Parts: sequence; C-alpha cells; structure tokens
Amino acid sequence: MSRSGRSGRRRSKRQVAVLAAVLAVISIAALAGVYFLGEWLENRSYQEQRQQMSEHFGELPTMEYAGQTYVRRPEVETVLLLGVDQHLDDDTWGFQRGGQSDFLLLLALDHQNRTIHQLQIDRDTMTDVTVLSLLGDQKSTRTLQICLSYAYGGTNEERCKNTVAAVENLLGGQRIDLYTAVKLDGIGALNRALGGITVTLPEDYTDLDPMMAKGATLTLTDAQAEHLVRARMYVGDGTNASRMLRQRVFLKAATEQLLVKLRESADFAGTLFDALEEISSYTNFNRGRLINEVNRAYHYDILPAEMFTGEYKIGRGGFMEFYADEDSIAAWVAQNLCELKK
Amino acid sequence: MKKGFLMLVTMLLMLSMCVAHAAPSIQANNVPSTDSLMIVLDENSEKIKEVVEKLQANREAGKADVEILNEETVEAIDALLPEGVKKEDLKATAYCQVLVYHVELATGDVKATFTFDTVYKQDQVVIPVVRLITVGPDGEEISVETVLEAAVLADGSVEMTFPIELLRSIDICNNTENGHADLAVFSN
Repeated sequence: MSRSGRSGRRRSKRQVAVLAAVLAVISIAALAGVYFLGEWLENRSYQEQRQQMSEHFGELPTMEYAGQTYVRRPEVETVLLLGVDQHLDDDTWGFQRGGQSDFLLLLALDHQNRTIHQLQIDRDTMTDVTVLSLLGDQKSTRTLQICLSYAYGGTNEERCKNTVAAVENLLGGQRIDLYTAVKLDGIGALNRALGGITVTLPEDYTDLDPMMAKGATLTLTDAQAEHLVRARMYVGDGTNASRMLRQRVFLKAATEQLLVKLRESADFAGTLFDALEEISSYTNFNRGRLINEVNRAYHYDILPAEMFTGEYKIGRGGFMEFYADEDSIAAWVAQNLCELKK
Repeated sequence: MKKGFLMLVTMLLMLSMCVAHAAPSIQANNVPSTDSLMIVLDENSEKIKEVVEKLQANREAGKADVEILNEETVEAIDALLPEGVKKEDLKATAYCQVLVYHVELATGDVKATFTFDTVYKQDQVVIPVVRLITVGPDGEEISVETVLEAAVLADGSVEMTFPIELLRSIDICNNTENGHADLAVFSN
C-alpha cells in the first residue's frame, strides 16, 4: 500500500508536471493564435511591404555629392504622400489611364535627430518614367512629367508603385519605404476628420467661392478644402506653382491641427487612418503601422517644406515641364537622407 | 437608307484602294493647326475602353490580338510577317482615334511620324492598321481596314504612310453619323 501510496504520490507529481506542460503548450498556442489572428486581421486589407532586416546588415547605398561620398542613413525613413486626380467613384481601366499624381510630398522621418524633413515635388518635374503599352505587355522608359507615372498600371497598386519608382529614380535611386495615394476630390474627408482646417488664404479665390478672398482666415468646408488643394485651371495665375503654394498652406495648417487632435486623444491616429482609408487609392501602410509612425513622430520637429530649384519650360504640345537642378536634388538627398561616409 | 449606307461603305472601300500619289513628308503632332494638313491621334476616345475590353476578352478566349480585325486584314498582315514571327506574336500596343484636319490641302500620300507610349525598336515588327468604322441599319458595326506602310525611327517613334484617298476616307468617316476612324498598332 505504502509503496503503492508512494508510487501514487510520484505519479501525482508526474501528472502535475505533465498537466503544467500541457497547459503551457496550450497557453503558448493560444497566444500565438491570438497574435496570428490579430496579424491576419491587420493585414487582410493591405499587403504591407516591410523592410528586410538584411537591408540593414547589407551595404548601404552611397552617392557622390560635392566630391564626397555619402551613405544612406538607416535611421531615416521615407514616406511618399500622393494626391491623385482620380475621382472617388472612378472606374479606372486599362494600363494607360490611371490618372495623374498632382501632389507629391516626400517626408523624411529622421528618428535619430527627431525631425521630419518635407520635400514637395513639382508634378511637372521631368524624369524617367516607365510607360506601358495598351494592355501593359510592353514596358518602355520615357522622360515625362513625374505626375504621368501614375497613369501607367493595371491596378492602383501598380500605378502607385510606378510613381514610387519614378520618385526613387529622380532621387538617384534612394529607396522610398512607405507610400500612400489619396484621391484629391476626397480631401474633404481629411478636412472633416481634422474638424475643419483653418487657413489664411494667400491669394484671391473668390471665383471658386465668394468666401475665399485674399487674406481671409477661414475654417474650411470640405468643398473649400478641395478648391484649395485641387483646383488649378482658372485659379489665380493657373500654374501648378501657385497650386503647390496652396497645398503647402493647407498641409501646414493640417499638420498643426493634427498635433492638436493627437494631444486631445492618442487614438486620433486611428481616426486619421480611417479617414484616409475612405479616400485612399492605394497604400502600403497598414493601420497599425500608421498609428505607430504617427505616435513615434508626434514630438518630432516638422521642418518647412522644401522644393528643388530648376527651370520651367513649355514643352511639346504646350505642356509645362520642370527641369530640377541635378545639384539641388543631390544636395537635398545628401543632407536629409544621407551622411558623409566615414 | 440601307442602299445609301451600302453606297457609303463602297465609296469608303474604293477611296481606300485608290492608287497612291507622290508622297510629301509632313510631320504630324498632337496640336491641331488652323492652316495646314494635320493628322491627330486622340488616345482619349471613349471607344478605347471598349477596344481594351474586347482585346482582353479575346485573350481570355485564347485568341490573338489581331483577331479583332477582319479576316482579310489578318491574312494581309500574315503575309507581311517576316520568317519566325507569327500573327499570334503580335500584340495591340496602341489604339487611338484618328482625325484629319484640312484634308483638302493634301496633294499626295502623307508620311507622318507619331510617338506612342511604347518606345518601339527598329528590329521590331510594327504594323499600323486604320479602321473606318460605321454602324449599319441593323446596328452592326462595319469596319473597313487598311494596313499602313510603316518604319520605326531611331527614337522609337513610328513613321507611317497614309495614302491620300485613305485620308479623305478618314475625314468622311469621322463626319458620318455613328462613324469614326481608329488606328491600331500591332507589334511583336
């Protein structure tokens, strides 16, 4: 009995150990299940392209500027924001008719110096663009206005990637990490999400709306926000340069408003993502990534938007062409994305 | 009504087949001019969407792109192909509406150079086809097609020769109710 009893106690300990092991395995499996379910839920809308770890261990890309060699700083993350002229209800079709990216803003998030550099790229900037044939069978390269890069592709994802490739090419091959394209006729949704953006108008736009007089300080309605950001023809001097100025005015005010909203609620980044999703054409961000990036960069210094210097010309067919100075491009890349190679 | 329509189609066919005259070289571009002969390619025609959809449906059905054309045109194209290139290898790489301004100024065949999205190579087979499309009384489309002589230039653009009578036919077709003239480019 006692042997039996001792034996019974030993089995009991073994049983406890087995039970504990089983419980541990179940707990780990449950945690893993929850994690993977969460990840699946997060990724089911968007396929995010995360950077490869190997990139950070491999050789970093270099560039030459002013007789010196610069190397890409891995702690600088680049985000390209595109505003495209597709309508919210547009049925885009074919491989040559995706619309144009009328607004291009590159953000360089410097996580070491806690700054955000902004580069506004003129839509008329001439650069090598991949163009496709009628049904996308044949690829060629043409020097075109960078906005046209968005026209080519069978899906919004392909069009977005084509524009990203054109911007990377313009920047001498510098990698763009994250990107999002929004439809400019839905910019009112962003204005609404931010509770109405207040701006002081740099020019007279009473042709578009009688309230939009030069110098007026307005909390924009959704329609006024769209006028300010999107309209070009018949507004002021009708040039893209003037529209870019209006877009910067809007962005500066929107950024200030965003910071106010984030101070009010840390959850606002999620609200912002939902507003962007409503007007999104395509993005390689997912909700979690955007929230993380916004919250991480919340306290960073946002520097004024910069632009390349260069020359405007009237090209074939009467269209405006902007030729950015090579030196201006290299200087921006060297100063904001790279550092001197040691 | 039907008789008049058949006469129109016959006239278009006859005009398309007329003997070529001397060929002055005219550079066409996309800006209509008020005082000179211009051949304009409009890529924003509503018809292009239909054509893209038709081509995609053809591909899904295992058909070659050239099968969008009349059987006789496909045979004519087949006869032009160099050894080793089959009609199935040809892809529709461009499609646009073709417009002619001041056709009365044409004194002979016209050579015009066009730049497309595709940068063609000089060793590529490039075959442009003009389609004069009208709608019959029964609502069915009738396409009268002409294969153009063409050469790829060093910069990837394509020089095409438009017979003068074809230019006149394009003009008539575009001014006919429900009529339009298109240009398709096939290449390997």
